[in-house]
This record gives sequence, structure tokens and C-alpha cells, in this order.
Amino acid sequence: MKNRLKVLRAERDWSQAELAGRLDVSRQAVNAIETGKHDPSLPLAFRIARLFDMRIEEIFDDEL
Amino acid sequence: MPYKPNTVGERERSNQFVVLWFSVGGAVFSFANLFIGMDNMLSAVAFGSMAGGPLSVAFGTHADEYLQSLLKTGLRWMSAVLGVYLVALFILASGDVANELGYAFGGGGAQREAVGIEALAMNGLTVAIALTLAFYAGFAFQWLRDRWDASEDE
Repeated sequence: MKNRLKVLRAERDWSQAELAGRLDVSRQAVNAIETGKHDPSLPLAFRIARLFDMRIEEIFDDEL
Repeated sequence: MPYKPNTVGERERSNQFVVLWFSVGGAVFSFANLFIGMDNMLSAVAFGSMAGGPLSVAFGTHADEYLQSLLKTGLRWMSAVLGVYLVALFILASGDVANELGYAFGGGGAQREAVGIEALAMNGLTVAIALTLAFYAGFAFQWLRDRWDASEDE
């Protein structure tokens, strides 16, 4: 699934480790989500959406 | 900020990956050791490191959902090998019936060969190492495939 996580992270000038710490996951998990190799669970998707103050569908797109 | 003992941070979660790669090395070493037979001390270290993955699956609290997905792939590979092993046991056990009949008619060569194969397949250490190696092979394969695909996308 495509997503805007990398762009959103870059806009805030956060490293992958920093974002991972805020989301309570590993840096490897952030990397896998950014590259579309891992689709986050619903709870994690909500945490990501809340962190960026956006809706889930504004970050993740299953039609891209 | 309130003090939270035993809080699992990003570093602890990332370290889990390092621990598992150490375990992959232990599994490979133990498998090689079946054939070359190395020092007992090294074997003990390898067995200990191999335990990391299965114990992480059973009791781990530091694994995030991505690591769990990799471990799940490892479990699928291990399950596949276990399935093949059990089918092999079935065939060997079925073969015993045929062997016994054949043994009654022919010489003992086939019987001895069948017993040799069965002895290897029934060796608990061999089976444990093979299953653990399959587990780590699945884990490593999925991890490497993710890295490879990601590098191709960029």
C-alpha cells in the first residue's frame, strides 16, 4: 500500500528512528511502512494519523 | 514526564532485530556443526543463540508488528519443513511394511539402508536444528526481500 509517510516525516525533519520512537515501533518498521513493504495494523495506522493530525486515508492510499 | 520502568523504546525494539540476526548465525553454525563437528563450547553458544527466535515468538514483548510479521514468515517456513518431514515419516513408515515383505523374499541390504535413513530422520537434534534453520531462513528471506524490493523502488 502506498503512503505519504516519508514525505510527512521529511516535512517535520524527523529521522526514521525519531518517528519510530513517537510511534512506539522499531526504525525497521518505519522503513518497511515507508517503502510499502509492510502495511500497518489498524491501531498503528490510527497512531500515525493522530501523530500527523490527519485522517488515515490522507496518509494511506490503497488505490495508488 | 512520569517515570515508567521497563519502558520499551525504539532502541530496544530495533535491538530485537540484531538479536535475531545473531540467532540466524547460531542456526547456520549449528547446522554446519552437524557435518564438521566443532568445539563443544562453540556448539553451546550456537544452541543458546538459536533459542532467541522461538522464545521471541513465544514470550517476546519487545517485538513490534513488523518484526512479528517476519517471525510469522519464519514460522510458515518451519511449518512447511515440519510438514515435509512428517510426510517423509509417513512414507518411511509405509515403506516399512513393504520392506518387511521384501526382506522376507530378498537380502538384508534394503532393510539396512531403510533403517539408516530412518535413524537420521528420527534424530531429535537433527530435526530440531533443521526446523530452527528453516525458521531463521524464512525470517532472513523475508527481511532481505523487503530490503531488496525497497532498494529497487527507490
